[in-house]
Amino acid sequence: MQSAMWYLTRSTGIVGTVLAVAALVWGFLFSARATGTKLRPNWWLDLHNWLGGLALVFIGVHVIASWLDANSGIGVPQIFVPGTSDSAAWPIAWGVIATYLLSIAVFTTWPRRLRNRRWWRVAHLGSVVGLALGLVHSYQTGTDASSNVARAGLVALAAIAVYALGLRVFGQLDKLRSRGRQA
Amino acid sequence: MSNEPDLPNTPDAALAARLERLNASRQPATGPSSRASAAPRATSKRQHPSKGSRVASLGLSVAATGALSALFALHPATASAAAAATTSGTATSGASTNGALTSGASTAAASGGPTTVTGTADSNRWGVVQVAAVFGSDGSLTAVNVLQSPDSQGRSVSINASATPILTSEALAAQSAKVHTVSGATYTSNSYERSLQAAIDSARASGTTTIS
Repeated sequence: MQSAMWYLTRSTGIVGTVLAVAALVWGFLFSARATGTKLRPNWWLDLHNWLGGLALVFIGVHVIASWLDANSGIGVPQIFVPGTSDSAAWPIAWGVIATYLLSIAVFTTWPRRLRNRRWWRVAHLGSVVGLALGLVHSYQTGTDASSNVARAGLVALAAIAVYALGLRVFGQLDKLRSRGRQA
Repeated sequence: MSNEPDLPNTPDAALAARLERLNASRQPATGPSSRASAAPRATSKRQHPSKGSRVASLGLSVAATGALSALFALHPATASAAAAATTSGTATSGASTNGALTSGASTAAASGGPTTVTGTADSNRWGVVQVAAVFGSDGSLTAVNVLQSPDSQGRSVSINASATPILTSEALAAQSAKVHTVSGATYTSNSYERSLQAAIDSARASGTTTIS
């Protein structure tokens, strides 16, 4: 049973990370208008929302499985309070903070309670920091994180995410420059 | 042509209501995702990223890849430490954790002082843990040397580097193998306890100590 929890913790962590990166990439491609013309933008946005929600579900299962694994040393305080783990305090703290930031991004969008677009944007951009922390968390705590395959996977995920982020940032800079020229 | 109704001016109330519903469904009231439904109509107005943006993003991505690769290449500390421990065997593991105690115990034992008793090698999911207990002339537990600990992964090395000193200090304070499990190093803690208990049992059987 403990081994099952351990495997579940690992698998959901990996899948959750990949889904979170995919959600970020979809979101940035959408907001950067880099979605092409074949598929409608709302399809991209719906998929972005769906991927973000699904990533949070997997991360939730990851947290619960690590709590149920008696050998992980993860209890309720370690789940909710960063830095309370006896060993690997910081690596686990990054995961806790990342989960908070991703949760904020999802739950300020999905129930559509936060109508203030500026605050919604700040909360949403926090998920980018959350994802970066999540990648650090996965590298520092992952059982196989020191293997070449895992490292290559992390590099690939980071490269894709940075490309999408770059499209958004440079696109925005282009927009500002063109506005400046028009003015 | 003349038979086609002019939609904006049609008097048909049902058609007008239908158009209104269609527009409403395309433009939900508020919320962050309101752009989703409005977007199809604005498809032609969407500004796609310029070629410069794409190239710059690609460059940024390549730079990030290179930086991470360099970081991984320059940061193999845990992996190389694990490899070194694996190739050097138990002597390196013991020396890296309690090197001074190891040499001191063996010297003293030769002169009839403290006695070192090696515990069993206990396997767990992460690897093998084996300790050697050092008993003083009065039979007290004076030191515990970690001869083997899981070292196949950098993560295990870092965990054990912090966990085994805690386990050793607890064992010495308690004069027993019954130590508290170190959070995050449960397997190592349990194996440590079993190996140390085996060493104590062996020492007690030979009359070296009376502790249990």
